[in-house]
Amino acid sequence: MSNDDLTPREKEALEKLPKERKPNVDLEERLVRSLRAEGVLRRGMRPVVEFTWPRALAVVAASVLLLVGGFALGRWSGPQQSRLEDTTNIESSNISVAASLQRAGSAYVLALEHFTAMPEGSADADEMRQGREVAIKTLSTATDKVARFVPKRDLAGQLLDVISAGGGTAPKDTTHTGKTGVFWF
Amino acid sequence: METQPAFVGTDNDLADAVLERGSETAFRELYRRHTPRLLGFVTRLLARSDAEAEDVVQETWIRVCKGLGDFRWNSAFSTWLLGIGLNVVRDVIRRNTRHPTLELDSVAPQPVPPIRHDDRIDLERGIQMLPDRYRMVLVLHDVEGIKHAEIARRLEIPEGTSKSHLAKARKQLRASLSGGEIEGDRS
Repeated sequence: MSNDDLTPREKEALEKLPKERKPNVDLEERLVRSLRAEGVLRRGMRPVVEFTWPRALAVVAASVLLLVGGFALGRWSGPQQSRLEDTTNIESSNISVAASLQRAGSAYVLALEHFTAMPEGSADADEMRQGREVAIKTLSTATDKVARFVPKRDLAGQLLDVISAGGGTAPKDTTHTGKTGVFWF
Repeated sequence: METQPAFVGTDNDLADAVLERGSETAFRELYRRHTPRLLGFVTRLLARSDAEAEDVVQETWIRVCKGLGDFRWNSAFSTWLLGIGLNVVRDVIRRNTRHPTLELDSVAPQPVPPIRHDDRIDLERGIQMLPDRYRMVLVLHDVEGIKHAEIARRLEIPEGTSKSHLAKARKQLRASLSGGEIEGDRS
C-alpha cells in the first residue's frame, strides 16, 4: 500500500464517521433572534396556507353562511329594536305627563292653602265653594286624561279614586256633593 | 424552545417564504432540516470547541439568509449551505492565523473527547489533531467524498497542493493512531 491510497478498511472507517450532530437547543433561538435583529425574519408570521379546492370551497361556504347569518340577524333584530324604542318613547311620555300632573297638583295644594289662609268673611262662601269646585274639576280633568292616555298605569286611577272619595267630582259626575277634602301629593 | 407547526414544503418553498415574507416558521423548518448536517460538517473541519462550531453555524445561516435572493438553485440547497459553511470555517481559521493571540488560543489544549477504547473516537481525535490545512483537505476528500478539483476550487489552492496535503494528512493520521493504520469502528 502506498501512502496516497487508503485501504478498503481505512476508506470504510472514514466514510462511516457520523455526518450529523445534534445542535444545542439554544442555538436555534439565538439564531432566530439574530435574524430578527438583522431584519431578515419577522415575528409572528403565519405559515402559508396552500391552496386546495376543498379548502377554497370551505372558505366560500363559510363566507356565504356568514353573509346569510348576518342578514337574518339584521331582519330579526330590526323590529325588536323598533319595539324597544317605542317602549322607551312611551315611558318618556309617561314621565312627562306625570311631571305635569305633579305640577298641577302642587298648584292645587297651594290654592287650597290660600283658601284656608283667607280670613273668614273676606269672601263670599259661595265664591269659595265655586273656586274649590273649579280647582277640583281642573285636577279631575287632568287626571282623567292621564287615565285615558296610559290606562295601565295605576297612578291616574288612584288619583281619580282619591278625588272622588275626597269629594272632588269625576269628569262624568259633575254633581256637587258638598263635602270638602284635602289631597296630598 | 419555541415549537411551531412544521412548514410543509420543499427547500425552495421554504427559502421563498423566508425571502419574500420573512417567515420565521419557514426558517425554523429549514434550520431543523439542515443544521445537524451543517454542524457535523463544520465541527469536524474546524476542530475547535463546540461553542466555536455553533458560532460558525450561526454565521453560516445569517449569510445564507442574506444570500437567498442570489441562489439560483442549480445545486441542492444543502450543497450550497455546506459551501457557505466551509467559507465561514476558512474565515475563522484565517482570522486565527492573522492574530497571534487568537493563534495561541487555537493552539491551546483543545477539547479532547474522553479516552475510550473506541476506534471511531480515536479516529476523530486523530483528525482533530491534524494541522488545519491538512485536516480540511482530508475531511473534504475522504469523509465528504469531494474530488480534488472541487476541493482546489473551494479552498482556492492548486489541485496539486490539494493532493499533497491529502497525502501528508493521511500519513500523519496513520502515525497518530496506535496501529499505524487508519481504523474505524470495526463493529
